[in-house]
Amino acid sequence: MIQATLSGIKNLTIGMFVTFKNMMTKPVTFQYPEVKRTMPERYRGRHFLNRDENGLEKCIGCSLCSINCPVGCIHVVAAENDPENRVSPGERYAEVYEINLLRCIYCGYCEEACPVDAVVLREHYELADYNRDTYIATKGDLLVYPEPNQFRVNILGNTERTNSK
Amino acid sequence: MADDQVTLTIDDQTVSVPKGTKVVDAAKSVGIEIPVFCYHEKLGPLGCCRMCLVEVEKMPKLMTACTMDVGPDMVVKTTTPKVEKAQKGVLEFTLLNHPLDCPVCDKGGECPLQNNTFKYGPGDTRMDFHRAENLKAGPLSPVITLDRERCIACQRCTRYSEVIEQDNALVMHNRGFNNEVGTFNNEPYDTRFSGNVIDICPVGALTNSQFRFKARTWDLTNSDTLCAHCGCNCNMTLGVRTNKFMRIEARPNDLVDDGWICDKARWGYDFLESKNRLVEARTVPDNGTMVFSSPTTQDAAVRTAEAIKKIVDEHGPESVGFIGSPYGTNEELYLYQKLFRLGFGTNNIDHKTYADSPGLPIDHYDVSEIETADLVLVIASDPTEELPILDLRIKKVVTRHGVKLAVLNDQATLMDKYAHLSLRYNIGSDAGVFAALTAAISGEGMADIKTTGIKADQLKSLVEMLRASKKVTLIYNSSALTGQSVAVLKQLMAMIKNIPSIECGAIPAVPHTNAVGAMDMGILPDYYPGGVPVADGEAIQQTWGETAPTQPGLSAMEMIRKAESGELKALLVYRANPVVDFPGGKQVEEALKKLDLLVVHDMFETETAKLAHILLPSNGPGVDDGTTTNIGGRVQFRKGGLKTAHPPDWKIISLMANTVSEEGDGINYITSFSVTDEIAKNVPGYAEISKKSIKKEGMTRVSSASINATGAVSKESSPPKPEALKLRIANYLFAHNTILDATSTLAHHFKPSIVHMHASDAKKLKLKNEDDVVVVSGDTQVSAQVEISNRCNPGGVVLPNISDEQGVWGLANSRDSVTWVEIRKV
Ligand code: SF4
Ligand code: SF4
Ligand code: SF4
Ligand code: SF4
Ligand code: FES
Repeated sequence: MIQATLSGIKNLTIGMFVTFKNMMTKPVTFQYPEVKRTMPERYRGRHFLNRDENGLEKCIGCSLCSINCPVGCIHVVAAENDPENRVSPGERYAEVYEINLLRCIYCGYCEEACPVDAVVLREHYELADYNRDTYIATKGDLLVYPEPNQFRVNILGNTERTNSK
Repeated sequence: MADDQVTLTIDDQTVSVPKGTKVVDAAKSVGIEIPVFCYHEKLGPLGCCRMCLVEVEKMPKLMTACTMDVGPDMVVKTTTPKVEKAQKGVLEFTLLNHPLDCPVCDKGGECPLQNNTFKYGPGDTRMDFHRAENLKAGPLSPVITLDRERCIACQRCTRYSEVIEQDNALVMHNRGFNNEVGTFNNEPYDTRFSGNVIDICPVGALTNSQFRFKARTWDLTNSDTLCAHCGCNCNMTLGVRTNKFMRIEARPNDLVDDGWICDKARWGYDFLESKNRLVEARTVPDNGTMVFSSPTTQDAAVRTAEAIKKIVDEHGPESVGFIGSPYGTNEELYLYQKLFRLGFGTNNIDHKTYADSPGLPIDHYDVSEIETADLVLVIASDPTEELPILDLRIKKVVTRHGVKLAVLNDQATLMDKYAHLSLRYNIGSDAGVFAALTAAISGEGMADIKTTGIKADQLKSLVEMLRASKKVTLIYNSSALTGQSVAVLKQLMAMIKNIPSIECGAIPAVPHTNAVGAMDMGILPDYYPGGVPVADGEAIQQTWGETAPTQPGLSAMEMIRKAESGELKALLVYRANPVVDFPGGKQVEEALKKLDLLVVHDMFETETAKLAHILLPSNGPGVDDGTTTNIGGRVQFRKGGLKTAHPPDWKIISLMANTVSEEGDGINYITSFSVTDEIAKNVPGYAEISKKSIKKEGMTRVSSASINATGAVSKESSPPKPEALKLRIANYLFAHNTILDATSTLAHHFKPSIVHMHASDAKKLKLKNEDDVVVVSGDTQVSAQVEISNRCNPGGVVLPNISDEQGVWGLANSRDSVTWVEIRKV
């Protein structure tokens, strides 16, 4: 009986020790949404379209992302560049580029397929909204990268366009 | 086994093929693929790219499979390490200077270079240097883009120009590393068939400028359809993306088009999205009965049927009429004739202004029969401008199969260049020539042919040519004949048939898409479908019931005349434009204005549609399904590609039929094939036609036997004035009209109005080349420029119909006899 009590106290102390020990360390959870997590670099979140060093769109409208997409959620319509007034460096650019973010499974195949590293999946994961229509990301929504300060994340986690054309 | 079969072994498989087959084709026949670039089965071997190397036992070196004929007991291996090494080497070499453009290249996804590299090529390149730079995306013509960096110098395109088109417009310049595709003096390469080089180029060096960057090939929804521009009915693929027209490609069917399409097919489909299209039904509330303005098509169709029925009840069935179109499908035309015959009780049904009747005294030959003939006789037809793909086939058989070609025409055509004998009769004396030829064949001796412009010895040599041949194919264009001479021509055919040693058939080469179908479907005042004459009351009542009218109706021109005199009250015009295309011009317009009710059912806002009281939109080719019958009598399915909520024509017509039908709801067709099935049941000659039987290559219908045609040679009309000349209206493939409008991709082909005359007439009238003149007949004038080209015999002029605006048909008074015109200098 005494032995049992002693062993109980011992176990309790060991248990409490773990508790007290962890009270002192930094918690692993986050106070989301007040605190946001920094995602690993290769996290596959929301898509962006890159620009090159001259500010031209990298995308050449080749539709390879679209054909590689396992759910078929990318729609590309290409057009020919006007050499006087270029949109992208080559002969061809994407006139329409749309991704249906609701259908997307964030597999990253589009990024993989892109021959010019135009489409990328970045660390933005806050994609909730009340309105389905906002999930059709158009070129204007996607081209906000690479200047991170050009877009901001609203309370519900959606990227708002700030440099809309 | 027959002597002309050769048996060999390819990759352990035994193959038996006809002698002379190339090893590539033999391998293909058993499903073994040997990669090629320069070889194309229609162009024959060249052997310049070395892609097709194979190992043959007992031969020390690798052989090119595309140039090697099969030999007995040959043992071919296509997958040995030696062959694979060679394939890798050839591809690495081919790719040395090839830009890595695949992501932006329009050929990507259907590119033989991509495919071969993927299947047989090296995974990597060892090329560390700068790739050659060359012309990128320059115009080879207004419709073809040339990218010299991508060209692998396989010479398919230049050989196409040499072997198929036979005009060497596209050639290889320079040698070796500087080898490049080009034209003389950098002229645009804009022939009638230029577009096919896009299909055969194995890389993206030649691409379609209209389709440039519009979509990736794998994004297209392709429908296997037919060209709707002429009677060849070539097979083509209509590429659509998000319900927008993208491009046209050839879809080889050797029995119809031999693998090619003309440029009018490839770039002549802008009309699908033309601004000029009718999209909404319209009615004009001016004749009391019509008091609504913007109804749905279904409403307008119901009102149309009721209004016509009312006129029939008041004035009798002779007071209404139908002018159909040789451009409609068999289903649409069949339903219309049924509506007018059974619903309204009239035979006032027609689709043409020239004389012709269904049936031939000889066989109706399919187009492919030209290849086995030994004489092709072209009468009054200008295949180059009217039926371009027929032109290619004739050129092919004449230059490569040793077939003889004789041309009998009133104007010079490009066929003359290939003809062994080319006779030119005077404009308007066609009947005389045919009669003389008949007499000469029958041995009645030479008729008097002085007035026809053909010499006796010329005629004799034609007769000799005919007699010397075993199989003759006649190609004749009845819409280019005058008066009743088509009947005389049919007597001539019957006469040729009587020569025991000759097998003879004819191809009626009227240019319109479904001219043969329109005749077969009975869009004629005196024939029911299948060439059953109205006089044959018994047969008619058996198929069409007791009430079917058996009085001959009015022809199209008679309807116009009766409209003018007020006897015809209502007319329904289906996809035709009488104001522009019928002889008479202004007169036709005046006549149509006198009608109580003019209904126009058309795709476009035409000049005739402007006069209509009720306008019904039609979807037409590219949208509606249906079958058409080509010049060779081959029935094929023309599938739609674009979708629309607007009902197809066959639905609109059957709605009208059900509105006037006395037996309840009438018939409800489910698809266009339900109508096809009814055609198979009711139209003699079409019994075998069904969705299944016409699926792949189409099927020839059985031609109706000719009712003994009677037509006498009418006396030549004499000129109203001594300086008057006879008019021949010629066709031009790229005429500027509602189909090819000002925004058309083919607008660079539009031509100015030119009147061709003989030097002696020009001298008499004191005209020089390029003089501006007006061609006058009655009070109609057509301005034109003189070209002294000797295109016709003295005493006539040839005036190509180059646009609707030009209004050449306004000059013609009727088709009964030749039209006389005066040429006045301005
Ligand atoms: S991440 Fe995957 S599912 Fe989403 S768009 Fe890209 S390819 Fe498609
Ligand atoms: S994002 Fe990349 S793969 Fe997609 S269309 Fe643009 S260039 Fe092509
Ligand atoms: S343009 Fe095309 S078809 Fe012509 S030679 Fe070059 S690769 Fe061959
Ligand atoms: S030949 Fe006639 S049917 Fe063939 S592609 Fe040309 S226009 Fe069309
Ligand atoms: S395909 Fe045989 S050499 Fe080109």
